[in-house]
This record gives sequence, C-alpha cells and structure tokens, in this order.
Amino acid sequence: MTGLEVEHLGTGYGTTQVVTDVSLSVEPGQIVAIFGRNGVGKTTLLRGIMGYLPLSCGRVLLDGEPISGKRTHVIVRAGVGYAAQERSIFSDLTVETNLKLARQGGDNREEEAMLNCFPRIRERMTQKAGTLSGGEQKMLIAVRTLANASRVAILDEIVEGVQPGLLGMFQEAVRRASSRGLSILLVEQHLNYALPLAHDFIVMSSGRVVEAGPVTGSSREQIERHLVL
Amino acid sequence: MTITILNSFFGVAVLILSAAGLVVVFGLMKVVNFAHGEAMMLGAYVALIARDWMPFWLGIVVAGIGIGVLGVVIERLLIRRLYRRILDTILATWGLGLLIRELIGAFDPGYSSLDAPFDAPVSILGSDFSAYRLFIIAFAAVLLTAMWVIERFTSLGKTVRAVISDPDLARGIGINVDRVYALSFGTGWLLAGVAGALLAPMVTIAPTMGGNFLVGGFLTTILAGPTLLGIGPAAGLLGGTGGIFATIADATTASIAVLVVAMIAMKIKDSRSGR
Amino acid sequence: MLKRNTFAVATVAAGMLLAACSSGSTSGTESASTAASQPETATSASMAPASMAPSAPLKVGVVTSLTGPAAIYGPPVQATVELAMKQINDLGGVNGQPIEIIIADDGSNPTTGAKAVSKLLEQDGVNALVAMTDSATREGFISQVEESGIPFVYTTLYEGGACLPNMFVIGEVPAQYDPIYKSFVTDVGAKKVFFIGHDYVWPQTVFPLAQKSIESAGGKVVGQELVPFGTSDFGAILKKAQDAGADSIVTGLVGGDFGAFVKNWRQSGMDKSTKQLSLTMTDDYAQALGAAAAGIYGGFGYFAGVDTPANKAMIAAYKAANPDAFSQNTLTEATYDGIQALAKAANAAGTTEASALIKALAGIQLPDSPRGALTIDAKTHHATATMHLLVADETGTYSLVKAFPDVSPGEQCSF
Repeated sequence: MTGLEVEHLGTGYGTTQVVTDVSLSVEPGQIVAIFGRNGVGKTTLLRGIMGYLPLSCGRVLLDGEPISGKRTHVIVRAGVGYAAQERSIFSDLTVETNLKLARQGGDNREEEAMLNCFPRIRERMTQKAGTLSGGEQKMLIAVRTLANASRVAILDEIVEGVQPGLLGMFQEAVRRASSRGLSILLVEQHLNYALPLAHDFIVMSSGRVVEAGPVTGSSREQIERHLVL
Repeated sequence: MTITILNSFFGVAVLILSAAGLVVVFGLMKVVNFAHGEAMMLGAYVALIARDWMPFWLGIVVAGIGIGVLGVVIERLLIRRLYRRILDTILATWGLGLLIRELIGAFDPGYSSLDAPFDAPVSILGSDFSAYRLFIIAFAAVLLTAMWVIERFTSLGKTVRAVISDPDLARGIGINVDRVYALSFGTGWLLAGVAGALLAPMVTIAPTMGGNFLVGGFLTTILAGPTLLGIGPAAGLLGGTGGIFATIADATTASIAVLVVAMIAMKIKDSRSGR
Repeated sequence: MLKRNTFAVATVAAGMLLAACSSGSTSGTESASTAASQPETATSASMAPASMAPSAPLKVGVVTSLTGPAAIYGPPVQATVELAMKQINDLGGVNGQPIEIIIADDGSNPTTGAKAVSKLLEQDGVNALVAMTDSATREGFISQVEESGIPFVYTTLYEGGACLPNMFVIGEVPAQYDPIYKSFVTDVGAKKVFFIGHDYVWPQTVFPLAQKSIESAGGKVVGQELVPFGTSDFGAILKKAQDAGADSIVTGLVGGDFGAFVKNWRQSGMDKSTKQLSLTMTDDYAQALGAAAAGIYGGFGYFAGVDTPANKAMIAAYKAANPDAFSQNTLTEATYDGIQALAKAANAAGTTEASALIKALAGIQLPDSPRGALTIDAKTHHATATMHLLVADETGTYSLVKAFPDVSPGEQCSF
C-alpha cells in the first residue's frame, strides 16, 4: 500500500488520551478531509501523525514503511509536509527566508508553480512574514507546505480566516499538488472549500471516527449533522 | 580620561566575552547554563596546560574546541533529557558545575598563573594602557561583529533564528532542532572555553574562578533577551555603569550600581514587552 | 580575621597534590600516629624520671582544612605536623613516651570544624589541641575548647584579640607589622601610599594601624579602596592610585583576586611607577606568580629563606620527607612551632595534665624556632617573635630586606 496509512492511532497529552483508535488511509493523488467540531481531537491526531506527540497505540505508515516513533524533522524529510493550524510562520524572517528554510533540496520548481497559484506572495518576497495579512500568511504556509512535500501534505485549517473570494486559489493549489501524486489530508471546518476537493471524508467526535466514507451528494448532510450537534 | 574610558570598554568586553556563550545557549534552548563559569574555568586550565606544548594562541583554539566538544557531550548525556524543564536544567547544570569544580580542585586546589603573550603597556594619548586589555577589547568587538554577521546573513543564522522563534515549527519544516540544540550548546561551551582561556592571563587560575564572571554574564544574558545581538547594548549598559561608578565611587558601589541598573533596565524591558 | 582562602597557597608542586589526594581518601579524621612503630614498652616507661609515675602520653589533636575551599592550606600543615612528630619521637618522645598526633579536617567551615573538635576531645581524648584554621572556624569550636580546659595553640596569622586562659597564639597579629610599615617607608622609600584591600574585617582592622605606622615614619597615605571578593578588574582602582600620586601600594587582597591584581598592576605599567607591599603573598604564592612577583615586598613572621641553622635543618628534613612538596610558609612553620612548644611544655611539666601544661606554656621560649627566637608571653598568651620585610626576585623567591627580632604582639590579652 502506498501513501499515508494510520492504523488504530491513539495519542494525547501526558496521561490524557485525546484521540482513540483512529484509522485512515490516503492514497497518492487522493484528498481526504477530516471534519469535526472544535476540540474533538483533529489537531491532536495530526500532531500524533507528525511525531510531535508520542502514540499510546497504533502506528503510521508512509508508503508501507512505519514512520511513527520517528522524530518530526525525519518525518518531514521523508516527504510529509505539515501546515499547522496556529500561525506557523517565522514572522521576524522574510517571506523568502521562510520558504528557503523549508526547502528540502536545491530544486524549487514546485515552489515556482505554487507561487504562480499565489502571485501575491511573489510580490512580498523581501517583506518580513509578520507584516503579511492573515490571508497572505496562510498563502505563504500553503506554498511552503505544498511545494516541499514530496509524498504527503497535511493541512490543518489552511483557509481559516481567508476571504471567501480567495478560496479558489487554495483549491487550485491543493488540486495541483494532488495531481502530482501527493496524498493530501485536510482538516477543515469549511465545508464549501473542502468538500469539492475531497474524495473521502471523515468525521471525528470525542477523539474517535464517527463517520467516514467517499464524498457523495449526501455527504454534506451527513457531516453537518455532526457539526451542529 | 582616556584610561577611564578604555577601562570601561574593557569592562564591557569582559561582559561580552563571559556572556556570549550563555546568550547562545539561553537564546536558542532556553537553558540557563549554571556550569558556564566552570566551562570558562576549564578553558583557562586548558590554556594553562597548553602553555608547555604550544604557542599561547594555539592554546586558545585548543581550549575552544576542547570545551566545545565537551559541551556537545554534556548536551547529549544530560541536557537533552531536560528540555523545557527550566528548573531541572538549572539544577542539573548547577550540580554539573559543582562536580567540575570539585574534580579540578582534586587535581589543582591552588592558584596558578599564566603569562599574557604581551604584558607591556602601550602609550595611548600620553597615558599607559595595558596592551592585552586593548587586545581583549578588540577581540570582543570582533566577536560581536561576527555573531551579528552570522545571525543576520548566513543560512546557519537564519536556521538559528527560526529555532529561537518557534522550535516546533522549525521541526515541522524539517529542521533537525535537536542537532541545532546540540551544536548551540557546544558553541556556548566553545565560547566559554575561549573566553576563559583569553581572560586567564589577567586573573588567577583556580577551580573557583568561574564564579567571578558568572554574575556579570547572567545579568548581561537576561538583559540581552532572546536574540544574540542584544548582548552588545546589554554589556554596554552594565559595563559602562560599572566603569563610571568604579571611577566616581568605589568597586563596591559599582557592583551595587550595576545590579540596580540591571533591575531598572529589566523592568523597562518587561513593561515594553507588555508583561 | 583570616578569611577562607586568605593566604592562597600555590600547589603547582606535585607533592602537595598527592598529599591532597591521600587526605581526600580518608577525609574526616585520621591518625597520623607512628605510635605503632614505637610500642609502649617497659623500657620507654623507664626513661621517665624515676621519681615520677609514668604520665599519660602526649596526644595532640590538630585541626586544619583538608577539604573545602581552604583545602590548599591543610595538606602541607599535615605534612609539617608529621615531621614535627617524627623529630620529637626520634629524640625520645615526650616524658619518655612517643607523642601521638591525630589530624582532623575542619572541612573549611565552622560546623564541620566543631564536629572534628568534638571527636578529638570526646572520642580520641586528646590532651592538647593545635589549630591552623580561619577565624570563623576557630570561633565555631572555641567554646568547646574553653570547656575542656586543655591547652589550645592557635597557629594562624589572624586579626588578634582572641583570649582564653587555655589558649596560646603563635602567628602574626596586626600590631607586629609596625616595623614592617616603617621600614617600607624609610628603607624602601614609600612616601605616598595607597591601600587596596578586600572589604572585610581583616583589612579594615589592619589598614588604620598601617596608616599610623606609615605616618609616624614620615610617609603619607594618599587613598584607600576596599573591593568586594571576586574582583578581578582593578583598572579603575589603579587609575585612582595613579591620580592620587601614589608611589607605593599596600595590598591586603586574599585568594585569587590578589594574583589578578598583580597582573592588572603589571599590565597597566603601574609596576614601573609604584612599589608594592603585599600582606598576603606567602612564599608559595610568590613562587606561583613567578616573575610576576618580582619586586613585590612582603612582610611575615617567617619565610622559607630564614638564614639560621635551625631553619635550614628543618627545611632539609621536610624536603627529605616530602620531596615534591613546596617549602615551608609562615602558616606551616607556625604549626610546627606549636607542636614543638607543646612537647617542650609537657617535658618541662613532666606531665600531660592540663593545668600543668598551661602553666608551662605561659612564657615558654623556643630559642631555636625556624623563624628565630620565639616566646609565648605569659601575660598576653601571644608570641613575641621576629618579623621580616622581604622582597621577591625574578623566580618568585623571597629574600630578606630587613629582620626585626623580638617584635611584641602588643596589647592582646591580660592574664
């Protein structure tokens, strides 16, 4: 099996178990979206996958090889890009330096392609990242993550706070990354943005998967039932 | 007047030398290295022992490399287990310092003396001033400039700044933060070793000598804040205060004045940063 | 007060290192007795005067710093005490019995010091005590000593004024420096003197007395600066001395700071324009400084170069027993004198009983002490002895400028 696989993952903070028995898989070129209300453990799950948190059970496989237990930077260097939900830019460094630091090799063709999706970022190269608007910061994070991921990209609420008019840009960028074979895992509140992208969806509640399946015409209703509750 | 100003510059230079390693370690790792004084002491001893084998300057290099490698080893064995536990790192490094001091004390409880490579004074605007002091001032200026250039303009410096501002994010973009920590701890010890070796010809070399530099080094580090470059103004403020009060009053008043100014400066800094 | 680390003793000598290590392995108290090699036999008892019943052997407890910050002083004191014991026993012991010495470590602090003295008094049952410790440690056990009533000989250079009926002092007190200061003015030519010392009781006591002596000899004190412990940058102070027009400096700096001062003084070029009299540079410290000590004056009751047969013989014996050790200094030699005084008093009294020993110690004379003739005044319980004005050469070795025999300790105690 190729792509990202998560098997019976359990993790949390200290002795507090937040995520229990989550399994999912994202094949190359596939986009999977995770939905759920605030505080149900979506971000914790991602932090577990990324090696920020120790797993209490289960494992994570990348192209069939276990990566759980490895350190975060090793997982990243293995080709897993991660855009954390919180303001994950170096605000004192320039946009250019922010991108440069994340470059895994000399080749930045993908970066160029991503910058074409977000031309505003190209105009802001020499500015300090902290001076960008909230939406622009999200663009920077998207460029950085999608350009440098070679196998999997994990995006945690990448369009949070982004003007609705700009959502298309992000969708375009994610599609482009997907089309070159990345497995993409989205965590979203924003159904209008994520549903048109996703092939599969997952709904989490209280740290568990409560609903999962391919995205169909009735998916929105299924998901919203969990979100309003 | 010339001499008084130069003496103040010298005070600033000593602060820069004794704080440089601390600032690197604290700025990057948020680890307060209470064994820093002992790292300086070890540097002085390396220079003392090296005297019989090689020129003074080579001894400085050996001291830096030797103490730096020791720092990396200590990071691996001890500090790595204690990240983000500030109190634990304080206790661990304090204990480590004590251990090093006692260990050296078992071999050399006494007082040794190392001659400066040039001891004679030079004449500046008609007044005699120690040539070695001038060299220390120049060295501190070069060190500060080098730190500035590295932090601002090299990719290493950018990596370091990234790790300082958000270690988790740095990991998330593939930076090996643990290695950066090990190297910065090593660099901190390297700088301490060089500082100890350079200052050795001006003091008495003894197991307890590190304590003399620690207070000034800590005050400078706390004032310098998280960036490496804060060390310049911080050392300038404290060293300048010390120099002025040592001249218009006495040494005891000067050390009190330095403490008071440090506290006021920290208050101002805190209120500015909104804490 | 002789503060911890007061007289920094250099320990470049490997022998001292060995001594320190071996003492470290048996920290606490240890017996330095060689009694085992001289069993108490009927023959040795018969050596006592026939008219007297054989008295108890003289058992001396010696307290000094074998561990802790002052651990640089203890090991050479221990080696010196062992020499004294061997010499006394080779000459037939005390009252026909070998003298026994038990060394106890004060750990360089009053608490450990008091414990060490308790053990010597209660467990070992010593009948005399000798201490080479700083004043704080001495004050920590002095009440025990007073209660015990056994003779106590204090062999440390100190600030003076400690008085007990059973306490005797061999070691310089500030009043004895009067001829040193006067000679520094008249013989060395110090006219405008600047004082630099650490900010604590000993320089505070010593400097006013020094000023009196210097002024009575026609010199002038142009300034004084007291610095905190841990000062290593004397740049501003040297500038003040220069601005005050000083032609000489008297230093009362202890520990490593003194070495730092000497380097500051040299590197600033002030060594060309000023003479320096150090009150703390013992023989071994001067040796450690080497060429940096050249031309610095010192004043002590004893230095290794005292030109008497007694001193030469003593140093030769010490070096034979401790080939790698540094020679004697004023602290070790005073302790040697302390043991000798006790042995002589016990021989004179014919007993080791406390009151008889105390009576014999008051006014006892050691005409052949390595430092020169020495008398413990019956009235003050402090020693009248020779003082030496010294100057160090390029190798850091002291030579004599002038000796002042029979210098009185002044008003100390009145018994």
